[in-house]
Amino acid sequence: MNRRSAIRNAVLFSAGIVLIPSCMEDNKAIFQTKNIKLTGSGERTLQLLCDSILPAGNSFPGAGELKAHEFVLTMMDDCASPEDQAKFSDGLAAFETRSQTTTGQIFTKNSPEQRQNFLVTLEKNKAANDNLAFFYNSTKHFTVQAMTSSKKYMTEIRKYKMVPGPHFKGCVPVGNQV
Amino acid sequence: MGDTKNSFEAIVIGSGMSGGWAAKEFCEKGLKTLLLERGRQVEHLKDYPTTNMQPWEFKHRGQVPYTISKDNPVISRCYAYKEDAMHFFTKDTEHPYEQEKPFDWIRGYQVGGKSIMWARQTQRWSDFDFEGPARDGFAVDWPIRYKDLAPWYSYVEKFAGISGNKDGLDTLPDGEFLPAWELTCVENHFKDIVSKNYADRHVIYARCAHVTSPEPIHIEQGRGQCQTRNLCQRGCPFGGYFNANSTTIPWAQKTGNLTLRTDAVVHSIIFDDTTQKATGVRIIDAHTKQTTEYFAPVIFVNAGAINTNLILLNSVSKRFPNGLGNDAGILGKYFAFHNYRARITAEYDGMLESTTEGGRPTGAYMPRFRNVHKQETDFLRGYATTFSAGRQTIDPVIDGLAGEELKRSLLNVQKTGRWSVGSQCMGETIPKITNYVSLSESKKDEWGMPLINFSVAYDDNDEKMIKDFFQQYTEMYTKAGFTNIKVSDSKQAPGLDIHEMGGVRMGKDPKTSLLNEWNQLHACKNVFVTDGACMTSTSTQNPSLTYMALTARAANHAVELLKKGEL
Repeated sequence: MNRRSAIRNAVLFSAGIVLIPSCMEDNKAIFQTKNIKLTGSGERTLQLLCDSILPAGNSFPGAGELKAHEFVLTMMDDCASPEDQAKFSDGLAAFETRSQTTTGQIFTKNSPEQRQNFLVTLEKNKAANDNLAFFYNSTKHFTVQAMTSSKKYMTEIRKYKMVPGPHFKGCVPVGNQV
Repeated sequence: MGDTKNSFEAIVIGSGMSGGWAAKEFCEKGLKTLLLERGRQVEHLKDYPTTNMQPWEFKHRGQVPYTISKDNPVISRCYAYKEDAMHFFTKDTEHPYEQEKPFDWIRGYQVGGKSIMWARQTQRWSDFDFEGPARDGFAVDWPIRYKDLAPWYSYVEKFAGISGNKDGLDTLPDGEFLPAWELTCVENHFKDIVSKNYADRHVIYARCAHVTSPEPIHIEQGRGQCQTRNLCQRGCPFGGYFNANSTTIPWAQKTGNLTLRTDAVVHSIIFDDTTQKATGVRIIDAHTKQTTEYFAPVIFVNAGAINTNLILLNSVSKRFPNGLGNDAGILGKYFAFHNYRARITAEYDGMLESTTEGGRPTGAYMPRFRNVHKQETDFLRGYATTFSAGRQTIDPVIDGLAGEELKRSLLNVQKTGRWSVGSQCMGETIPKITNYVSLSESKKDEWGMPLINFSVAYDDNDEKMIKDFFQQYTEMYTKAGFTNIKVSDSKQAPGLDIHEMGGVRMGKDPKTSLLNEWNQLHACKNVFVTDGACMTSTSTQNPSLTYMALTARAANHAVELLKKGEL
């Protein structure tokens, strides 16, 4: 029994049936999607997967600070076809099942090492034509994009300037360009 | 004639690339001018909602939401239809049309039209282009030659602001240029290789409508120096490139002679059987659907090539049962476009010690070299091409990585890869009677106008030209030492080139053309057509500059005729 269902049961036993609606809320996702079916636990799994793909530290914000899981959901919810949205939701469920059968525990309960090992197997599985691979590949793609399209990355790493100025030099030595 | 409130001295239909010029010329000459626009108002600076947005501020990082692209497959194929500029494009669903044969009709219904989002390439025509139909026996002879248009090219270039080099080529006459940006190292390398190997092929800087160094006229327009943002399709906060919104329309407004009526869908041009002249224009309000009539002694039709055809076809009277001025019976026919299907890309391993600095909203260009002085291939005419070369930005490795390793890889950005080079083929197509636009027999739009129907297709000449482009460019790229050469044929439908032309062609003979040498309808002299619809042939150049020059020339002629009482 995981922590959340343990708490839920405790609440049920102590307060009785009156609290069921609010307890059901507990499994509602915080981020509102229009098309993607998403539970609260699914959302937490996705969030932790994003954090595992791009962890915090290393002098650059990780997926958590970048709110990458919200970006993944935004892109899938608004820009993917209904077929791909279904594959994403089913893939998320498959991800949860597979991680549990592999480690004996749900993903959010895994140790960082277990999660990293699971990602390694998914990287090897990424060419597979199944919902799990689709879910993992999409999540990774948009998590990476959340980082590479962030203000900090574009201005500090890529030196992006919206207004480069009027001058263009067609031939300068590598390393000397401003 | 109607009441004075609805009476003007000139009416211009369409406020885009060419209509803005007609309005400017008339207003400057003191004519009370009505400028009709079917779309909404877009004021320079004020109505560019995304112009200062950073890339990370776009919710979908540029991508168009699925429901929009699914419902609007045609506009979604346009390269510039992205989250940052999609509000300037007309959705398929907003104005449907019929496709007897597939045609991608790309539209921008607003003040300024497509001049807001255009690609800003401005190459002049030469007599090799104007003399094409007569020499090669297609379409009809142009009623004008380069010398007729040359002063008007200069006139519009000075006002619009065109960046370029004087290249001294007879195939691409020089103009009034602001300074050019530099070519890149590898563009210059290719230029050298080409000129060493082919006497008749020239790689030059592609002339473009950017203010690289403002002249007093541009300052007076309130425009400034281009800052090479390369975000032109959003509208420019510096007025760095030419669009009607920043340049011609405010200039017309400053005279106090302009009345701009937006949301006005033109239904037809009113023809008076007694005077045998057009007297005005009937419009339908885009929202209330109410009909209003406006009157003027001269009418310029600049609705964009296809809508210009639609308006004329829908302007029926006792005298013109098949559309205004359509005595020849060819209105809507000999419709043409540019063949933009073919591209070639490659890489270059040399000059790795060099790179570029800053941005540049243009590239290099090779004017047509095929069949210039005489017929020499198994296809008619030829193609111009773009050429550009820049260092690749290497995307960090992400494959097979997750976690710390992936993040390290993303932070380790190698600045420069090899050189990427590429060329786009821009082929002249041959106008034919079998390529036409017509009115739907049964279907009407929400304003009660018949839907336009397209029957326009490529032909064998286009296929042969693509093959030749692939062969010639593979040869030139190979000589330049480029590797990994890849050719591709997008097989895109006509229209996606956004260079639709013809249907109301100019010519000397009223039996085989609709417009005379001044862009007047042969059979209704106070109606002028100076947008893409007037084009007798297409040549290979991006056509907007030629529309602007034709419009300024025709408008000034119309003013002279009015003064003489000849309209």
